[in-house]
Amino acid sequence: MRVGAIAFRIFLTVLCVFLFAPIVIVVVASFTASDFITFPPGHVSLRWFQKVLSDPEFIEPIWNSLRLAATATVLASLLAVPAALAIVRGSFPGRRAIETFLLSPLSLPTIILAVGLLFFSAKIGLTQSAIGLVAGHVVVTVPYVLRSVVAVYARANRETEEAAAVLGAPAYRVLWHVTLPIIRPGLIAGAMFAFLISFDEVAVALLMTTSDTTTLPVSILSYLVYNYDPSVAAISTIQIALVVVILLLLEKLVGLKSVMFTAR
Amino acid sequence: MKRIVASATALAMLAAPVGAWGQAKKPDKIVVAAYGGIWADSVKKNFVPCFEKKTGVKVDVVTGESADWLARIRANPANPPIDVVSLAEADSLRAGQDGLLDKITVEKVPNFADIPAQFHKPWNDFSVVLNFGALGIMYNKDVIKDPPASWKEFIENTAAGKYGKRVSMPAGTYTWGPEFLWMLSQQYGGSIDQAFAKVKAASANVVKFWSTPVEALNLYGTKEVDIMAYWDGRAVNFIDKGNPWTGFYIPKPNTIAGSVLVSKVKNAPDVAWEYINCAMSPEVQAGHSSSILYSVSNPKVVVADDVKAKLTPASEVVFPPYAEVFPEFSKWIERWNKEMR
Amino acid sequence: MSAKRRSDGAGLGSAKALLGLAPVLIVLVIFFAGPLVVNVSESLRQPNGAVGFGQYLRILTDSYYLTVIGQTLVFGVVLTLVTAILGYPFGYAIARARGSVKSILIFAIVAPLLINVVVRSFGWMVILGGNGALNAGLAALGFSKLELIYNWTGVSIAMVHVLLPFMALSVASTLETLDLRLEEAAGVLGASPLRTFWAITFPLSLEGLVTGSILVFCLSIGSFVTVLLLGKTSTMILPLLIYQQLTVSSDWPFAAAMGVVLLVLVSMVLWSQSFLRPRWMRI
Repeated sequence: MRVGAIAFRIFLTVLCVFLFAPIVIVVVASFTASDFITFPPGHVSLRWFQKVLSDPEFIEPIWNSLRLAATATVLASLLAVPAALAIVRGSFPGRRAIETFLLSPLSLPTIILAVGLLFFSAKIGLTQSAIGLVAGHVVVTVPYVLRSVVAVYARANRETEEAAAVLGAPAYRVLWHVTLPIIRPGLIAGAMFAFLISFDEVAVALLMTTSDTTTLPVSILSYLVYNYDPSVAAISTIQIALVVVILLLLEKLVGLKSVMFTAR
Repeated sequence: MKRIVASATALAMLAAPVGAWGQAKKPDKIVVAAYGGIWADSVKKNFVPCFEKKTGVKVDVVTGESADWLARIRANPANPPIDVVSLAEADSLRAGQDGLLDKITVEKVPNFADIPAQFHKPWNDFSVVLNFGALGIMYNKDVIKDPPASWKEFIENTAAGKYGKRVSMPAGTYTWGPEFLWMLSQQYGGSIDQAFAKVKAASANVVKFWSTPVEALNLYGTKEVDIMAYWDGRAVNFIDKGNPWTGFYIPKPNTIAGSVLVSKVKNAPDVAWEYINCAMSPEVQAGHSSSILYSVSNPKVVVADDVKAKLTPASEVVFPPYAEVFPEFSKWIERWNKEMR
Repeated sequence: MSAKRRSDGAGLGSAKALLGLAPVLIVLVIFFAGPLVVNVSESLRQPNGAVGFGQYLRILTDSYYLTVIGQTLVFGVVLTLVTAILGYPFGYAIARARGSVKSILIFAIVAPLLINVVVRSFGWMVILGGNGALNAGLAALGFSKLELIYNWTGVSIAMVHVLLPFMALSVASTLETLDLRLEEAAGVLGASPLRTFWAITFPLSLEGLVTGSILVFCLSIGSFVTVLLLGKTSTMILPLLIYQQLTVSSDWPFAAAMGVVLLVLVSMVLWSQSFLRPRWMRI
């Protein structure tokens, strides 16, 4: 085998080890019997999992976070895709300015956005409403989907779309059967970013959630003020396990490898 | 006759909703802010039953932190999303000064009469201390044979390198960082310049100035540091959970408190006073103290001896004269950032 | 790769384009511009109650804050370069991989984002600490200890870790559309692998690289928890300063002014990136 190929594989392996390293530490530490996060864990026990799984303070927020992330991702995608298509293909003045504006939530630190959103939604009467929370997350995640879709669409061949139109396909059919498959890799990457960003988001959630909508990051943050046991490690392990289960399910049901990016 | 009856009935029907409206001022729930984990558990175990029994009103607990609770109240002063809030010292002061809280009086909260002045005067009675921790020294008994007897010794020995580069203490930008700096300044006749100079001299031997207590415990537990300024409740808990190699004590002459204060938010329903009354009662505070293993403010509280041994008595803690020093805090934070680089 | 250069008319008409843009513009104008206006008006509030640019002067005339702004931008640039160098090959590998290797690579690249940032930082403390796993390993091999934590090194390692997914997946998604036959054809026509890469593969992935760079740059100058836990007082960046001002000092006007300054600086970067698109896309 060529040296280049071997070196490349070594590089990938080292990088994978780097990517997994802290995760392994946290997962292993969550099995400790002691009252503090230690590594190596010493005696092994499942007590922290027992504690966390029976505690609504952790379990409800997981579902809230999942729901919120899914909602924000779907909404952000519905908003961003048409806009991305318009930016790439459209011919109208101020395109650059509009694109910059749509990307600018990326450049404002989320805590500043969160504080502004809190006071702004109070002014327009949205206090303690889930709308403000979801809107905040949509604002934060739209740029990810937008930019990812633009990236893929900008380089795509126009000819296929033009050919379809020339051959008589109405606009919506061109969109569904030609354009969407073209942008699919960008949309999937953008949606993944959006979901993960929303799930981990703290600043907006800290100010806009109520006791029914508390998200996991808020719960963990509040827990760590007066508690310092391995519960947070256990809940992180559960979070990872959940994602693995979801991915495996998607694989079995939909054939994830073919949905991921392009079908080859 | 019929017409009189009819009119009277009509009037009665008109009056009924008004009467019901007057009664409906009692809400079906109040919203209480609490920190997560054992703190919220204690609220649910000790405070909520007392309140629900007395008033029949439910309690909705929201978690989070002092800064975000303050922001939420500021954003909605007319219709606050939180009725009883548990802010830290500085935030309580700000909220009181900015007219976001209601003043606590003995008429509204009978148990308030028990609480010593040091636990509510600094906040002009807008807030009252519920529980407090004391900052002390936590150290590795195997490595450090003669721990510093006073704060002055701690800081100067660290600067001199007596403990090696294995020391930690709170950052000036931590929630209670300014209070820590104030306490150090008291060791030098009140000179904050001296305090900054001493900490600067010590910083060469400080592995990290901690910004969260969990980080601090991590530093100590992984043996990155041998001696550390830290809160009593967590330190004692660490020792008890199988770490006899660790010692903890309060250095001379006294120390600062890190407290949780409780306040009624302005425009919250009046029934919330009953919650605060519960929170100040000896029985509820005894339960709270035993649950979270921190000292509480009502001196009438009686706890088991083994619990009492772990708590720092109120006589050993002091609060800064907030009226004077509070305006300086943001300057000290800026100064910390610039000088401790 | 169209050789034709169309200046207009081949794309969507203004009306259709506006229809596509309207929903997102409405949402962002309300829920982004609204809060932004609130922040800007806060930032104009001075301690004595007057309205003015005092907060901005406070930032722009103080060498400390200018240094922090500079550190923040340099931090962003360095992280972007490092993740680009490490993330591009990884993204390429993801795009090329098939089957279970692809799944593993995707899971690996996404793994950093699956743990809460605070817990992840504790994991890094265990690895990078003075008595941590890495140093223990080095000591066992006879090397001296490295100072990998409470400095820019430790912070950068932890930040690169969590930023790699954004670079790698952006690159991967743009390379997915690459028709392998183009690469094969070039090879058949006599081009070396390197030439093929530079002439065909790289230009296609350029948009992905730019996307990844934008996302990484913006994320690195917007996050503070990692720097708070793994850095020290001298490793100060603007978002951490903003956080302090909002929570410990409770000085919203000052924090808002800092946020606006950051927004303006980064928006200039975002504005310039749109010029990197090929000529035929311009109006």
